[in-house]
Amino acid sequence: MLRSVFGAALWSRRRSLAWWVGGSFAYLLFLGSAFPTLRENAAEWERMMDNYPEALRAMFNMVEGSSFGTGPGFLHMELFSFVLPLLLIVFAVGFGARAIAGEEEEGTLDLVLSAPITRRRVLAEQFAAMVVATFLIGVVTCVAILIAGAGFDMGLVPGRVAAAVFAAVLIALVFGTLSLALGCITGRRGLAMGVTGAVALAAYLVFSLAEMVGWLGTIQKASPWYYYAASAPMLRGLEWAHVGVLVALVVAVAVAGGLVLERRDLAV
Amino acid sequence: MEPVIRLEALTKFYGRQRGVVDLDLEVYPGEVFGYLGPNGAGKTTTIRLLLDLIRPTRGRAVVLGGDPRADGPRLRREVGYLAGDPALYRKMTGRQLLTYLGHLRGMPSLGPAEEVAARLELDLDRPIGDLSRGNRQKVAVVQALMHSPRLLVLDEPTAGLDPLMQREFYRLVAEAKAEGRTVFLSSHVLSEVERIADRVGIVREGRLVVVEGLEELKAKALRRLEIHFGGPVPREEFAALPGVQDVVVEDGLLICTAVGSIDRLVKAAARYEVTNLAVHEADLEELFLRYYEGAGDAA
Repeated sequence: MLRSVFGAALWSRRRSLAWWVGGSFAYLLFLGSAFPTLRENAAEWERMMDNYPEALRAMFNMVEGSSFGTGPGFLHMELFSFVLPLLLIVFAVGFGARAIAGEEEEGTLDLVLSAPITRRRVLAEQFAAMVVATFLIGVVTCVAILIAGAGFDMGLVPGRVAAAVFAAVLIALVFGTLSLALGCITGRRGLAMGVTGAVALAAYLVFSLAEMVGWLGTIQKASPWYYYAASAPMLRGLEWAHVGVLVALVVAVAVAGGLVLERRDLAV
Repeated sequence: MEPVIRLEALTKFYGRQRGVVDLDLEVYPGEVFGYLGPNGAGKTTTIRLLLDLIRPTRGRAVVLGGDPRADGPRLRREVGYLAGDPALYRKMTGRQLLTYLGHLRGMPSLGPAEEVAARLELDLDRPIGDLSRGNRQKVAVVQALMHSPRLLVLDEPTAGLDPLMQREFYRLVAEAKAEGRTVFLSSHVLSEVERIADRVGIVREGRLVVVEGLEELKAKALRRLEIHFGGPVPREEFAALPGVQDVVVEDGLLICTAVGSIDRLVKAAARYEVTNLAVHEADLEELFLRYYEGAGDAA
C-alpha cells in the first residue's frame, strides 16, 4: 500500500474505512428488518400521506411510487432521500479536508512534497483515493441493500439499486471534492469541512423547500442536490443529464482547487 | 565551477511581513555551508524557497542548475531535505515511512536507509508517534540521507539529538562531503556550525549580513571568559591585552570578553594561580552587534 500517495491515503484510513463499511452494512440490515412491519401498515400510511399538501410531499421528495408498501418505495424514502447521501457526504468531506489541508496542518505535506513529485500529482492521487474509498463504501452498501432486499422480500431490481447508490456516491463526491478544493485553497482543514457542511445543508434545503418557498423554487436547479434527488434514481433509474452535471461539478471544483494549490505558498 | 545553490536578490514577504530580503549567495559543490542566524531571522524561509514549498516575492533561487518550481521533481530527486521540527506520519513505523518515501523517490530498496538507521541506533519497527523527540529526529535524518542526494538541505538538523548522536551525525555529514555532496545546513548556534562548515553565512532580520570562511569568522568570534584566581590580580594587565575587552575584576574573579584567539589571555592568566576557568560563547545576537561595532571602528 505504501508505494504511492494514493496507496498511503487509503492505508492511513484503513481502520476508519473498515468501520464505515461495517457500520453501513449493519445499518442496512437493521433498516431492512423494519420493512416487513412497515409494509403491513402501508395502506394506512398511504392514506395519511395522500392527505399531505403537495408542498410537504415535495419536501420529502415523495414522487410517484414513494410508498412503504414496496421495497423500492421504502428505500427511496427511508434511505436515499437523506440518510445514505448524508453518510457518504460526511465520509467524503472528512476525507477531502484531510487530504491536503489536514496534511498541510500536520506538516506532513512538506515531507511528501520534498520528494520528486508535483503538487498536481499529490492532489490527483488524493482525489483518486477519495473517489475509490467513497465508491468502496457505496459498493458495500449496494451489496448490503441487495442482501437485505432478498432477506426481507423487497422485490428490488439490482440495476436500480446500483443506480441509486451510484447517484448517492456522486453527490457525496461533489461535496467531498469541494472540501478537498477548499483545503487546497486555504490550507485549513476545519474551514474546509465547516464551509462544505454549510454548503451541503443549504443545497439540501434549497431543494427540499423549493415547493414551499417561492423564491427558492427559482434557484432550485442551482442546488447540486437537485441533480441527485429530482430524478429519484431508486424509483426511476438514472437521469444521465443529471449525472453529467454532478460529474462536471466534481471535475470543475477539483481543477479549481488544483490551480490554486499549484500557485500558493504552503504553510509551515 | 557551477554553484549548487545560487540566490539572486531572493526576496520573500508574507503579506507585509518580512521573510528574507535580497539574498545573494552561491554555494559550491562539495561544500558544507552553515547558514546561521537567530530564530526568526529567515533561515527556514530560505530553505522552504529552495524546496519550492513557498515562492519568492522577487529574485530567484537556482538549485542544481534548475528552477525549484519549473524543474521541481527533477531537482528534488537529488535533494535530501530535513525540516526544522520535522512532521512525520505518527502512525507509521520508521520502516513504513521510509518505504513510502523511498517509493516516492523511486527507490524500492531500504538497504541504504537501514544502514544509516543502524548507525544512529534507530529502531525502525516502532510507530513514530511512540518515539522520543530525538528518535523522531533520527527518522527525519535517515529520510534526508537515504537516497544519497547531491544536495542536502538541513534545517536545524541536530535539534533533539543527544551529544553522541550529534557526533555520529557530524560524521555522516563529513562523509557526504568527502563523497563530493553539498550540504546546506542552518543553525542558530555557532558552535554547531563551527564543527563541520567550510563557510558560514549569517542572516539577520531577513538579510544576509556576512558570508565568510569559518576561519575568518572564528577569528572574530566573541567569547565571555570567567577566570577565578587564587588571589587578587591587576585589572590593567589584562585590559591591556589585544582583543580583550570589558574587563572587570572583583576579588579573585576576572570577567572579560575576548575576540578571536584566547591564547594571550590564557598565557597571561597562567602567571597567577588559576582555580577555575569558564568560557561562554557569546550568543549570535551579541556576535552580530560586536561584528558591526568592529566594522564601524575599522572604517
